[in-house]
Amino acid sequence: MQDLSPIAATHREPLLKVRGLSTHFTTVSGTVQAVDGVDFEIGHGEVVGLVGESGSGKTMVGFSILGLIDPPGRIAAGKVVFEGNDLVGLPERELRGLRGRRISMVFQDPLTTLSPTMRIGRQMTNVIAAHQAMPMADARQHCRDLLGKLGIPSPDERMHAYPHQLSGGMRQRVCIAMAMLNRPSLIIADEPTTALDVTTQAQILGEVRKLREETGTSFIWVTHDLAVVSELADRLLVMYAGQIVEQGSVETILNRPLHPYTKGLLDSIPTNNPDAKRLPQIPGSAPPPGIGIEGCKFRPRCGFATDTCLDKPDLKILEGTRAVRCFHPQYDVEHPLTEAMS
Amino acid sequence: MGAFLVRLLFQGIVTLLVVSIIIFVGVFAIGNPLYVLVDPSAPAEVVQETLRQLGLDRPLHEQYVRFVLSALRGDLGTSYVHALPSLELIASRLPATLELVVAGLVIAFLVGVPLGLLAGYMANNWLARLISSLSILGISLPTFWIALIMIIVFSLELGWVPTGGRGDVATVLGIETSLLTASGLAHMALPALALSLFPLALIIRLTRAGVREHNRMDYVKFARAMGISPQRILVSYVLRNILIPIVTMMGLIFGTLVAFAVVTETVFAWPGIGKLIIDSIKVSDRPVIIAYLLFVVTMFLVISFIVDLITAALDPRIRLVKAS
Amino acid sequence: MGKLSAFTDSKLVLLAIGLLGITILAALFAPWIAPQDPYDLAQLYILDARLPPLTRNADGTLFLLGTDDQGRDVFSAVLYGLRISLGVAFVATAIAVVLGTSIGLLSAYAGGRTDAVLMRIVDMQLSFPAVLIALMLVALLGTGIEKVTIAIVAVQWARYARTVRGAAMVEREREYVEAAQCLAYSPSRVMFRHILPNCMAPLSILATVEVASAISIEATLSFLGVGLPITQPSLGLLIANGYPFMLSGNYWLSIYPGLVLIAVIIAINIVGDRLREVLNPRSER
Repeated sequence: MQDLSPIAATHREPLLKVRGLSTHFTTVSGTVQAVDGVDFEIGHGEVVGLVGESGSGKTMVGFSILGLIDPPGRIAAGKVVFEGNDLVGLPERELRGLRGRRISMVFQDPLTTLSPTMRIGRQMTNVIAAHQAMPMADARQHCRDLLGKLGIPSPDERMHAYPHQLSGGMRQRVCIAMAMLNRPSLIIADEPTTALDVTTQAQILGEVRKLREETGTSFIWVTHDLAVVSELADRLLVMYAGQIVEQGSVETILNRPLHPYTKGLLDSIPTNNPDAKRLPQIPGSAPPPGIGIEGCKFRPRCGFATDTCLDKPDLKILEGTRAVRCFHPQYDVEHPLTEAMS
Repeated sequence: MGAFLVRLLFQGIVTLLVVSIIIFVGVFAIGNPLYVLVDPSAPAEVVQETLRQLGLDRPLHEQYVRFVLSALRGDLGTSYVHALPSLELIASRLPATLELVVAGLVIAFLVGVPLGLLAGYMANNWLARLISSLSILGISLPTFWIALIMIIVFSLELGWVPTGGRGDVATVLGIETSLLTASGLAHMALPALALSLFPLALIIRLTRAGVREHNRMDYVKFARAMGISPQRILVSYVLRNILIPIVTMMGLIFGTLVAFAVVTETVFAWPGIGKLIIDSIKVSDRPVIIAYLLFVVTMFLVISFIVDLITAALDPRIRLVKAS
Repeated sequence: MGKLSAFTDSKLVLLAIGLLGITILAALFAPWIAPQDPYDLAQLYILDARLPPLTRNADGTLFLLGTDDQGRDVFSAVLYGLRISLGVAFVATAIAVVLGTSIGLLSAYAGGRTDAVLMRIVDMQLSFPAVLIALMLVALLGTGIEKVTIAIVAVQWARYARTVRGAAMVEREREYVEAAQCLAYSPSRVMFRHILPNCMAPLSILATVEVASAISIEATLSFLGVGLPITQPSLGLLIANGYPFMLSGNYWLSIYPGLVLIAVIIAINIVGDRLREVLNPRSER
């Protein structure tokens, strides 16, 4: 595998380049900025974790890339440059040709993502038939192979089954297989393991990692679980209230979080805080969408906020892909960033 | 599944009993059948004799038991007007009504599902609005008025089809049907169309609502995310999932249409059980009225029983439970 | 104020309200507006029979909507018919609202067994089509204005009961009800003074649409000849009486009463529809 390191990925044209992406929902009570000026890149073969609480706009980033934002939502501004073409404003026909072929998506709840009244095999071959002319027998063979690689026992039988006859883990494997059927170069996985139990989660992560090494597919792995993403991702994007507040490689973020929000997230993971009698929590809760907050959006919950924070902080690039949107980044006294950079 | 069946059956029987009591009390207690059977100016002993013969001098609950027992033997009395057992009379008129109802349902399904899909898929454009408005009219306007307008336009002005009657019938397996003769079909066209309007409106609304509901669901969004075409999603994903409630509704509405046929049959002089009951009410032919009411109520209960069973069979989730 | 302007911002709704206002006034003042009393035989001349609309007879009297086979002015007959149709519908709806609301409130407030039994009855009744229930009742009770009214009430009460119960069940859980109960207000006071006012939105939407349905049921029964007697010719009966003449080309006998009938029904539905939008912001249309 080449070009996997984040630094290298920036040298050539990345697979996906998102610039100033803003997705707004117009409701009776005003405009909700679900995604508010998001910039990031995904390199070829790179796995990027998109982390944040529910409601932070992670899922909407995924849907925006695929052009699957339904009214009353719309992409208000920004570019989504994928393989050199801007997808924003692309006619629906062309977007449909990309979906499931070049960019795929896996949803959070495997129990609701498959049509309940259609056999698994049919749903899978439909995804192939939507993009290429392949004889039915070949298509079915391809589906069986992929299901097998994802650890589904006797895939032939499973293809004759209806979704409700499979367990949640099995169904999610089917969904992942469907997303991979046409060998896309990018898969947006929207919390694909959140609804599953821990063992299944670990198995699926292992299988996906193996398949990824084989195919070199890039992933945007959306999750609120830092532990999961740290096993899989090369790089992390931390989202809060529709904005990216911190980004960087997995190690630097996990070891030296800069944004108070990221720090709070990490502190609330039990293994990071073995001595604490009570896990520290980020005070307050994420702002309900549509509530405008002046300046830094994390300010009301932040212990380090000052009057400076009433201005809007920019995403400051520190070095390479490391960036933070904060006036008071929390440099660790023992491991200051400068030391880490040298 | 067994307990489910027993509960359904029990509910049906209770409902039937309640309705039969209402009909019984209504016919035998409120209206006095004696004066329909006996000339009110007849001598007192004739009246007494008839009273005894009919068991009308007995207490009400005893009369009810007799009524139920003879009803169970299939004896619901003899029509005063037609001098035929009332059940037999209904049986002879039933095929005409049934074929009208089936034709109406088929028209409603074939027209309603595509229109509903269109209206649901197009969300808020003018065509979808038009379809929705028409479906509201179809539900709220009195059927007889629409039927009259249809007669004026298609029969009187355009002269395409006759104004009423059943036309020639062909006999298949001992059952007369209008579906196999040209004249029969011509006579049937308007009444079937008129009868189809109400279920048509319901099917449009149900389909439209179903499409809108399902379009928001994850499996549709996932299919879209896989690049499957909107047409394919609509027809082979969404339609497949909303077909179950549509078919259920069509089954349930079957009985309603048999009752609704009263209006259509009267307007178009269609010789089915609907016209029979109206004619019977007008001349107080009580045995026929009772037989009709009990027949339709029973049919209603049987249909909802069957629909429950079919729904259970159609839904693969329930089918699995049965198989394992 | 906001609600009122939301109500009247559509021309269609204004038109429907205007039309309803005119028909209600016309029905109320029919004896004063109508050119003749259509049921005073002394005023009818057989020579005027079956005149098409907008013709004058020998005396120069204008018959706006023509005359029937007895020389009766169709316009006058329609005004009187409207009076009867609307009268029956409003009376029946009023009774059904009171009956259904009381039962619904009782069911919601009593809960438990009472609730289960009442709602079972409601379910059973609603599972049969309105036409069948109405037919059953006129078949059992006979025809006539009070029988038809009873039939309409019997058809409709269950819908009010269910709607009010549903709304009341939601309201019952609210804090203000708890507060009222803590003050030891009597159950009937809590129900009628506290819960009922909060159920008015769904109730008024339903009642509006049900008036149209009541008009339709009465018209249908009368058209079938099992509704109102010939001495009380509602719109439905006028249509039925004109029906035989339609086949010989005298459309106006049935058409004009019919047009008035459907205009009223459509107008009520438009108003009801808008009412639903205004009173229930969550509803999707």
